[in-house]
Amino acid sequence: MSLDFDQVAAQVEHMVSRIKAGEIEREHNLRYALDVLKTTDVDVLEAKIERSISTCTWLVAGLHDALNHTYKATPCPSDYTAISTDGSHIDVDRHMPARCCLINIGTASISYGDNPNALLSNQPEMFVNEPFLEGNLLGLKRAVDECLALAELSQETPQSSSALGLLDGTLILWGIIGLEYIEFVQELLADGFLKAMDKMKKHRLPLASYISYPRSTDVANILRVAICPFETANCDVKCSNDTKCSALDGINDRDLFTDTLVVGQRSAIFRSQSRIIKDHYREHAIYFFYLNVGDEIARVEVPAWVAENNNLMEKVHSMVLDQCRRGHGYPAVLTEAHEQAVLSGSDREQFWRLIEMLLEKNDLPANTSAKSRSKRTGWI
Amino acid sequence: MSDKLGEVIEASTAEFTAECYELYSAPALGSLVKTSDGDVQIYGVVYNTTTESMDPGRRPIARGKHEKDASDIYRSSPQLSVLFRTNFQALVIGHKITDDVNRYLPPRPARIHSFVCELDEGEIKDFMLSLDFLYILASTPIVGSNDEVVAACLRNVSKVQDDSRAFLLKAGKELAVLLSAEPHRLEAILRRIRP
Repeated sequence: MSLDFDQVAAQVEHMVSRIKAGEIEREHNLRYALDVLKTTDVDVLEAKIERSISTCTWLVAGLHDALNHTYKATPCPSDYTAISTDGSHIDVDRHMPARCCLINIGTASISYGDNPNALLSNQPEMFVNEPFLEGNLLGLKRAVDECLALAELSQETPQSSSALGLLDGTLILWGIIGLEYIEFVQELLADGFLKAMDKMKKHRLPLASYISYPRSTDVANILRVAICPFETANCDVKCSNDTKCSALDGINDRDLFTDTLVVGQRSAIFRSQSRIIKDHYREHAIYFFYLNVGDEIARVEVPAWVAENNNLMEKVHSMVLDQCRRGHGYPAVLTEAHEQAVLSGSDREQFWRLIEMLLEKNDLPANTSAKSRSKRTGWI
Repeated sequence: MSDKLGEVIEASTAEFTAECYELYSAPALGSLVKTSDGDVQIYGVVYNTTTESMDPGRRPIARGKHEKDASDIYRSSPQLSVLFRTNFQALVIGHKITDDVNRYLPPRPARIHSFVCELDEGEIKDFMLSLDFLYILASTPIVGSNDEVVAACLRNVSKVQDDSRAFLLKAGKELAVLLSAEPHRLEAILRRIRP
């Protein structure tokens, strides 16, 4: 049966009226947050963040240069190459006759300037009877494979040339939380992710990842620490539900920088203080900044070797901006890598049909579950 | 096959579609092209060319508002050149088995992935020794106008004839017989090939 939109519409209307009611309070909170952002003494705040980092219940960004500085982009090189990789996967389906999955990595390399050129391709890889490879772990492997493919692609750009390596989403492998003890995950980190980062660092590739419409609150949480009435923010011990910092409820980083950045400007650089990075990323700490690309405020994450090198930072800033201009608001090279990687519903269907067909051809059992057959035939 | 333009991606006995190796490099309307079914060379006349997105789900959008020239759009977005493709369709008008040139349909259609290239001057002259192919060209239903394709084809091939005026007069007489019941069509074609 199709969705009953009569019922849904009433519930959507209820949701909209709730959002509307909260909008006045959110706007009030935002004005307060912007005031704190402009008036906070950074030196005092930095020490307070250090003291509070282990006792805060929220993820608070570390300060790298300043809190409310803004930076204009330098002119983008007219000759440069943007490279990107993106992935898509077909997960293990227990209703199918074989335990297997597939990762498809799309790559895009686009050169601008005197010799414009584009190389687009994709590489599917199948995995059979891998005990751990499904669900979250498959997603994690895909993210690592994207990094490995980008590291490989980066070797084809001349070192120190004008190149930009761009990944979609975050550089922080949130998926490993709670799974670090698994040997397979440790191998993915050591032999996959960190090796890829080492390779790109050695190549001095201006690497960044791009998050469209970010919802993170790392910087807004700095402001919570700033207005915390205690010397050290220790939410569990000192605070009840009714706290002073609840005056910043509903505010995320994107809201803050929508108001403070004009088109083309970036924010100051901040350091992610995620435990994942401290425990596993070695020297490849992750930093980030916010960028007004015209159509939206994007979050751009960079590894330490980029954040600490002014030349590479300027390149990332100007080239990401240029990519968004060329891509009508979203980096052109990311779009092409995504289009190479994406697996449509029909691709997925065909993948399983191919497996069934070849099993049958070789007189092997190709039985699917009754549930799967029932869903496919859709009889009355 | 020398100077190949592309290869067959769809074929039937009466026509074939070829994808160009280079964007926008299809032969002109009415050009004579050849491909093969193994040992049989198949001749066709280009009657339609399309350039479209490789991915039916991605449509081109306007990009040049701030560009001075349309070519600047391709410089500023180099990926466009690999995201579009140019195809052309040719109506089969004859074939060649060993040394025999026939101006009627071949026994089998072209094979998928057969190379396609334009006929050279000698081959055109050889094929145009008889104008029997005009019957197929004028009467087979195609996308667009048969009359435009007939006229374009005759204009093209007349250029390589030793006496192009005499060739066009001969073609006009052939058409007068073919289209004796359709004087408006005949007149429209003759106006388009008048030397």
